[in-house]
Amino acid sequence: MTLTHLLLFLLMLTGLYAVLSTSLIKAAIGLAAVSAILTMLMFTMNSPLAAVFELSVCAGLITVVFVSVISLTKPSAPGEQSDTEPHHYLKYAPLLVIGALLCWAMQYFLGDAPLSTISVSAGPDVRIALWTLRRTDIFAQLAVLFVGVYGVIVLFKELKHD
Amino acid sequence: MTVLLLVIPLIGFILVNIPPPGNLRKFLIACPLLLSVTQVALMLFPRAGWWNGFDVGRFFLPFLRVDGVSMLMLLAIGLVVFASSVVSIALIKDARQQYNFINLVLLSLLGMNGIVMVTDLFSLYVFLEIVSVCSFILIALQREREMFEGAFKYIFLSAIATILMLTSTGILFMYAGGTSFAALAGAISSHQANSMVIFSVILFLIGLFIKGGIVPFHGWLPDAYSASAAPVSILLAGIVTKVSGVYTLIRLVTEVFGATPKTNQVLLFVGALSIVVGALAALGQKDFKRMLAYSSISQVGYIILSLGAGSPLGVAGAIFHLFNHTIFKAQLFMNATAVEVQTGKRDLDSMGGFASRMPITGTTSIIAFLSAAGIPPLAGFWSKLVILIALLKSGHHVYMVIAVLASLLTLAYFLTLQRKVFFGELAPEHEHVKEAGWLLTAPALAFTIIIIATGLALPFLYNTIILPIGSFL
Repeated sequence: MTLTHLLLFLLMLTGLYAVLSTSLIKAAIGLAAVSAILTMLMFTMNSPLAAVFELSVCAGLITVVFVSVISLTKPSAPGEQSDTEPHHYLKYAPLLVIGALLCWAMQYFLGDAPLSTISVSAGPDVRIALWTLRRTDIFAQLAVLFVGVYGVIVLFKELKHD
Repeated sequence: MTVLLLVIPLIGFILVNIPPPGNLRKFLIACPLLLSVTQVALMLFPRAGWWNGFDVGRFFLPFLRVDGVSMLMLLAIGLVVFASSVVSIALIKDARQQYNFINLVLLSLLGMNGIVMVTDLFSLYVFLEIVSVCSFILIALQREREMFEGAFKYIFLSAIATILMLTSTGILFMYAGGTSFAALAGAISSHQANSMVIFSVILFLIGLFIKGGIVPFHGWLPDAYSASAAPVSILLAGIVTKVSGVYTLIRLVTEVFGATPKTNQVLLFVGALSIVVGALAALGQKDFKRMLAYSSISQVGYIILSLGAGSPLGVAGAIFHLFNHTIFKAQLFMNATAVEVQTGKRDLDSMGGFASRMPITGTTSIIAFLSAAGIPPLAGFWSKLVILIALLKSGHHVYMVIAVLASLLTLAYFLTLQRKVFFGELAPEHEHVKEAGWLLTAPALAFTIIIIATGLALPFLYNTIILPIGSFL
């Protein structure tokens, strides 16, 4: 097992923890862990620029936003969650199907047609990548940030006062 | 010019959020109205005015381009945003909700403008996200249980669409070494037999089918349309799903993925399925807005079917019907809003005889439904005729017959709707019902004029706009 395989396995494990966790805080922490492992994967794949962004934006900023939102909502009363959502393991059943399908797809496609990808270099200079090549994306991401923040204010902040 | 259509809504959003002194803030309500009117004027008179001096789009923001198709969509965006904003003034009385609506419409306008102008797959994805997130919040804006349910279904399916599209973009990036439309088109055409490339194209197509609410990925659409507030449903049904799902599909199939025989077969099958399933489901609906939502699914099927014809005429028919559908569906939702506001009801079985009490709403609704059903000489007839001719010329006779027969279904469910809502006897409890205010009837009248004018001006439009649009294939 190589380091990449180990990181991919951990990535899937933390991803499942984030999705299946019933606590919002635990889910946010799980997501931060996914981002941290993804960062390591990116470093191993010679993409330090993407790795740094993943670590700062996803593991850092997004986790802070999630925790802020959770703090704005009302905490559920002790025992409330277990009453409304009993623990049953049927919800994990689709994972087996998805896993089997993924294995089949990867074997079929990769076996059928070997990748003839263009090799990716270390990438251009940060300034060129951000301010010349992907300037439109930066502009659009600014709008995404505004929408996200606005959504938090509209949907969550007011709930606390109701 | 292009850059202004993105920068001005963002500046508008920032200005709206800087608290001005005194009563000046209430004038900010006009911000989306002014921007949408300006956008409509820009698209109607692209070569006139001072804005040509600002043609710095490619320098300031790369990957932007405005061609004939983009201009038609920008015009439709401007018209629907205008109508939705006018209706919101009449219906959203709470100052805070009105303020939230304005902000989200401005950002949504930015996102939609970006989608129709961009020429890079990753940038397209980012603009799609702006529109999607705005839509989630807009659906749940008034925070009622039904709204949250509609928004949640949209978020859930939209998240799946996002995963599929991002995965596809990643795979295609490996082959093309870039994400610009030109680079991707070159890589896809040179790796046409490669299973991974085919797999990634299928993933992206499914993502777009979800965004466009096409059968069998339409589960979220009726709930989202019927649960949201009236101005939001006009915006969603009128333009948001059309731009983020249908326009994007047309653009990518013609410009990036290539109209291969396999792709065309998929599009023809999915289009025909949407037409039939949408129309049959609409026939069984009791709720005014849900019937319109299922009708929307059916009409989008015609657009996909036309695209599947794989010819320039098919593309022209798809885009022409996309524009027509935007106009008549936005108008029908305005009519549904007027009826709901005046009677407080959406249940078709409890209505009847409103044409005598609401003459403007009744008349405009009949014209819109006649256009949707493809009755001459209205706009919808011509676009459906172009679609049928495209199918006939490309040899898809079976699909042409399905399209013609489904038109009868469209006529059937719209006749049912008109009979139940506007014709028949007026129930005693509806004696007090009167016509909706001018903020609801004026946009409906304006859209009716567009439907009639587009139909009557077809001989001029056919050679100058419709056929040149199809030739970009």
